[in-house]
Amino acid sequence: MEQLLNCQALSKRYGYKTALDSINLSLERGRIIGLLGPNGSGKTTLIKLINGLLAPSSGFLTINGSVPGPETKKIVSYLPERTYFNSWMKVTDILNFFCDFYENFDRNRASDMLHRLGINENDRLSSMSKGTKEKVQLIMVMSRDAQLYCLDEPIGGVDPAARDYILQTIITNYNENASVLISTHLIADIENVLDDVIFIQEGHIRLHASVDEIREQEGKSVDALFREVFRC
Amino acid sequence: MLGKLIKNEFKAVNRLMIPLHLGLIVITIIGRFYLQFTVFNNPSQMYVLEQNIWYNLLNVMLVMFYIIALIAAALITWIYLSILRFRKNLFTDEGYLMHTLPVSASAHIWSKLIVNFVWQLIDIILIILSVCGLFLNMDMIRALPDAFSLLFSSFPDAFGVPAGVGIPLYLLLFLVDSISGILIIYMCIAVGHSFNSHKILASVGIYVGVWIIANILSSVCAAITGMVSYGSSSLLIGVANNLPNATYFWLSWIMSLLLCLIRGVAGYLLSNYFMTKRLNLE
Repeated sequence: MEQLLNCQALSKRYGYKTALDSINLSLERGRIIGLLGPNGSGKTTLIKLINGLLAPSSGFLTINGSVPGPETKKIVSYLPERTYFNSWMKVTDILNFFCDFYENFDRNRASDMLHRLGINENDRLSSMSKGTKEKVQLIMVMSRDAQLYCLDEPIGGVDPAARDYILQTIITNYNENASVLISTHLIADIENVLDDVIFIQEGHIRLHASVDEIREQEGKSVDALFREVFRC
Repeated sequence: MLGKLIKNEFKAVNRLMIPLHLGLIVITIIGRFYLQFTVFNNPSQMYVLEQNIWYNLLNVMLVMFYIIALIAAALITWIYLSILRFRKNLFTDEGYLMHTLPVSASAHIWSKLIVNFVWQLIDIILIILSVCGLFLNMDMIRALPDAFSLLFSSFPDAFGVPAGVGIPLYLLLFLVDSISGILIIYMCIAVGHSFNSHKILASVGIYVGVWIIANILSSVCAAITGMVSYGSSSLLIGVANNLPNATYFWLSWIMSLLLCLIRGVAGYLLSNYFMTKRLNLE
């Protein structure tokens, strides 16, 4: 089977500023991967490149062997760090929208999760708090049977109780064929669910290792190692 | 997928377009009743002069309000559909959703273009119907056959070809011109938003640049058609002073159509390229 994600000498520059500098990276299937780094390190840029929202300045990346395009978008499920729904939409409108466009969207799964988090399907987004909107968006994204989930700061705005539920959802939803790439600063919260971590700094990958390796070799938690590597 | 995009696009823009055009219809109906019971109802030609000045002033204000409402409906439709909706849905936060759908950039362009075109057509038809509905009375309708026959008989004198040929061809040109105009705006937005900063400024700048180039090109074409049809002296005395002839009509029509087609195709191809290969969402 093809490698899920493969980046070759991937760079992205905004004017004079280099956001990603010649990155080589490959991701396997069946892993939950933390993409960790300080603000402005290139996490969001990498995720946007994977989703085809940005074009690389040089180098290339492939998902399942193809460059980002309609085919890869079928198998990548993306949670951006912002709200991308129209505020006039009701939750049912969004469910219909996802059913229309994503063949792998599981409406029942989404309805279950909405119900579980106490979100009414007839509510308008404009009447919801920021955290609730984030929950709706995450539920939509996780209700697809995708092969790669890219979650950009998925738990930043939600309360700790919902956070636990969401992490649980992430672990239980994905299968051995799929991987989850989570970008976050809240390392301690998600450390227990991670299989691998990628440390990224100033557009370079500092470390790509499994959590077990880090614990064995360094004898410390990912959180502690992060604080050490990125000490200010 | 194109069908689904069109469906969702209609759903989104109908939220503004339907109330806007219902408003237009309501204003027309109210205006018609008002005119019917005041001006039209009175057989005297001197009706307007007989009235109080303040009453006439009020009527002038009402007519102005109506004209402004018509212009506003047309402008809002055009600005919202061609500029605001395209930009907001594809190049702001909503673009994060739209561009991660398993849909090609060309499908996005086509869906926006088709919905935009349909609504602008409805808008034009409703505005014409509104003006007719407001001012048309039986006398005018009775005069229409004569007016049309005069229009058709004098058409060849003005344009050099029969009306049955000229009017459909001009309508076709108008159609192609409208579509290429929309595509040029899409192209300017798509190219401008590939910049790292000042995206809106860049879009406007590109539009101004394209507009200047298109005008120079069409002036050159007009000069060439004039010279071919009337000889080189037409450049000095101006084409308008010359008698219309069929050569001039056909040449200028074909030139205009070609220019529109070039603009439209270039607009489409560049929009597609910049949305596929140069997408740069903040």
